[in-house]
Amino acid sequence: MDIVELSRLQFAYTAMIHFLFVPLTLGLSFILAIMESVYVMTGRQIYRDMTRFWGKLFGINFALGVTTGLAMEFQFGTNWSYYSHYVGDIFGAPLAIEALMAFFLESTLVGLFFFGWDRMSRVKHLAVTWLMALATNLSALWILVANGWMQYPIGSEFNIETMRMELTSFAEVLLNPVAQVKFVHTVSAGYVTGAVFVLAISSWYLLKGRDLAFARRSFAIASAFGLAAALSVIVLGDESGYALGDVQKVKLAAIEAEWETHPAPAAFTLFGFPNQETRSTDYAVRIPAIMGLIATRSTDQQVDGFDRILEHNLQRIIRGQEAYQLMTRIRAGEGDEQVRARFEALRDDLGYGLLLSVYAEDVANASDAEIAAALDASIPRVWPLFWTFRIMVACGFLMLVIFAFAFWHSARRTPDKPRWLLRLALFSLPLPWIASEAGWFVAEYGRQPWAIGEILPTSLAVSSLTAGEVLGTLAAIVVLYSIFLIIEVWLMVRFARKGPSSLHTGRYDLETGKLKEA
Amino acid sequence: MHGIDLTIIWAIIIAFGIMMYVLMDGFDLGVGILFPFAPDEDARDVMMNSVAPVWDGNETWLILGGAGLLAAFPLVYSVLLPALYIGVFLMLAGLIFRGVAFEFRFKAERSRNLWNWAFAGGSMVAAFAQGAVVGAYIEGFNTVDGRYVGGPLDWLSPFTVLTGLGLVAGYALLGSTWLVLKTEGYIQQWVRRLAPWLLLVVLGVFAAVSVWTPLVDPSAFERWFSVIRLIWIFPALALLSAWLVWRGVHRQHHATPFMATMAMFAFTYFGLLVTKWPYVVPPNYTLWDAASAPGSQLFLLIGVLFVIPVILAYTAWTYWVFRGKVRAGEGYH
Repeated sequence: MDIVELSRLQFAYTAMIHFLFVPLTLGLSFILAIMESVYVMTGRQIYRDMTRFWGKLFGINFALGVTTGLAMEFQFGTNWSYYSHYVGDIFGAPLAIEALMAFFLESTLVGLFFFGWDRMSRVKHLAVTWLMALATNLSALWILVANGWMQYPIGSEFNIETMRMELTSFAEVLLNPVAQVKFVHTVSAGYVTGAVFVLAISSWYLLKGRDLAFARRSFAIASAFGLAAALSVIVLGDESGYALGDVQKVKLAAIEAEWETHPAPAAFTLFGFPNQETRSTDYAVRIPAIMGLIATRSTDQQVDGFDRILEHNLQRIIRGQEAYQLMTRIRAGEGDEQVRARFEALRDDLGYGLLLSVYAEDVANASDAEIAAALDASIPRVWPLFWTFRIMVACGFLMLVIFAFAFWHSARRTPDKPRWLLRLALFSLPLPWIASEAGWFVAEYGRQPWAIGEILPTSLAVSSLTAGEVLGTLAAIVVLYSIFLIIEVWLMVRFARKGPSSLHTGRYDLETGKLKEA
Repeated sequence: MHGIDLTIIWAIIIAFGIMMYVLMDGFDLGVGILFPFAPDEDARDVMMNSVAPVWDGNETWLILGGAGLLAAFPLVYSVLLPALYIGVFLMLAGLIFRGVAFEFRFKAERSRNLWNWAFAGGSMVAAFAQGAVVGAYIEGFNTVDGRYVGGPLDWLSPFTVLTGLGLVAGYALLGSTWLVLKTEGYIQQWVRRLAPWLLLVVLGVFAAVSVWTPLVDPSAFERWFSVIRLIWIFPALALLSAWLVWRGVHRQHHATPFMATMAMFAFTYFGLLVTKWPYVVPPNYTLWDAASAPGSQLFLLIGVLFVIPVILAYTAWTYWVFRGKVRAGEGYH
């Protein structure tokens, strides 16, 4: 493997592991705030215990979320230094704001949340908890503004003097439609994760018949919060599909395996086996018209298939080839007014010229085979996107159904929930993580071959390191993170088994002798 | 922006962020470095609880330093991080180990000893790596056309090993005076005995680094002996602070040793800054070579000037909430 693939693997692994912790932090922090609000309003001790017990599990998760996140922040420089050099002006801004507005608040308040119970009034502590929840969500906003810009880079332009991208409008970067839909979709997914977590563990207590008052209340809060969140994650996910149709046609075509442009409204491919070689989907099962409705909100607009996209990309590669040559001439000092004007006209296609430079030693005289190779590489591999997208959607709908049932039984105040529902809720525990990881895979793998959409190819973004260096850190990261992940899961299970008795209040079943250690 | 150089303002902001990091994470890393030498396990509980509520906020200054560099000085970020690849990786691994140790040590009772070592080892490795990075910065980087072209281990040399060990001792000193402030009884007596020895080691390393620096970087000699004599105020104030540390410990003060250690660190840091000014990627690139476009710098500056005072305010409030000696039975247990 070369340095590009090793660096991609390392980034993928650190990001995927980091994102096991993030959604739980996003969701659980709000659930904690809700529980503590009930405590402050009613003064009932059990809600304080709920906040503290679920807070303990929150803490185990938070520690790893913070430390793995810290490592990611520096990877942009260590492993993607050309990327940092090329777009630091723009990409660094939301990261710096994230640190300033969110990380400081979050990391300072988390200390007050855990250790400040006896040092602050109830209301002050509640304010701390709410602000902590808000801060975790703010950090999601800024990192998704940064990521949204990588997907759909607006508000910026290439400066040939410095050979870097420069910011032209921060408002555009912030209000980027891709960033906006990503933010709401991602935080809702976090809320679902928090809710499933509390619902599943509470269901386990109910199945075991232990700590019933504690478990019923936790179940009720999780089911209501989860139902709202699951609904919004699906609605906003659909909104995300709409935004894709507008600005990220390639990704949309890939997750739907749209090889050809069909007459409007396009059919939705439910299942099938996308085949990159023949550019068609084997054994496809299609539902008429649905795709067109999702992507264009109309019955008469077309959804671009790969046939059109590739045709379009070929034009851009050829224009990019010229832009690349003009850039080389200007850099060499041969650029007169005319050359510069022509370059300005072609500037937006420079990224495709850079993509060609990956495949052709001499961009100016690239052979047809080299251009064809760049063209093939201009779209991502389809089948992994097609399938992970479907896994994500299936998980989402399954969770929605479970929350609907759970909420129904909570709202009717059924004292004993049906056991099948409790079992279903317990076994649904991995679903939000599978869905989140699948979602990020779609977002990031679907961005390929670009590090920054249609501007900088991933393979040019790396640092000039030796393969040995990256292999060494990759191996160390895989070993370390895996060990920490195992310990974290083990601790979670241990404390979930102890339940609220781990608070040592003397009020819960393991302590009152009602139950022996599970 | 007429008359105001944004690049200089940004340099001050980032220098401030790094100083905050060194002072704040410095003392909690120092507590970790002292961990294996603590009198007993109860003392370790108290030591960890003295920093448990604040370490995470302290570490965030490092993220600000990183993200601020990326946004305001992308060249620094993109040259230094690959050059220091292995050192940065060691630092991050150390910080991960010690970060999770906070949570895991109190929750996984049977493997507590393992997490004691994770906390201590992680703190030492992170501190050493940071010190070595400072040494590497003094030595300079091998660059061509804005790219690092040196080898993967250029950052490791006898000089950087010395600066690395020096920072380990320095953080341990900060940690020991922090513990003088936050503990009482036999734990406080232990750190009081320890602090003067650590001070001696730190002064020894400072002296050695000061003599050695002109040898690895001849321009440093010129800076200190020909240009502006006023900069001698920094080492003078650092020495005065060192004397206050010693006096505070000797007279059994609670707060002055810690305050004076922080002052000593700050003045030493200023001394380092004036030695290298205005080079951010020595010996080739200055602040202005490495700066991002004025648009980015201006936009962010407005945010920074509003937000940093707020951060300082709630950070101060947190320290106020947790003021006084560590209470028995509070915190993790």
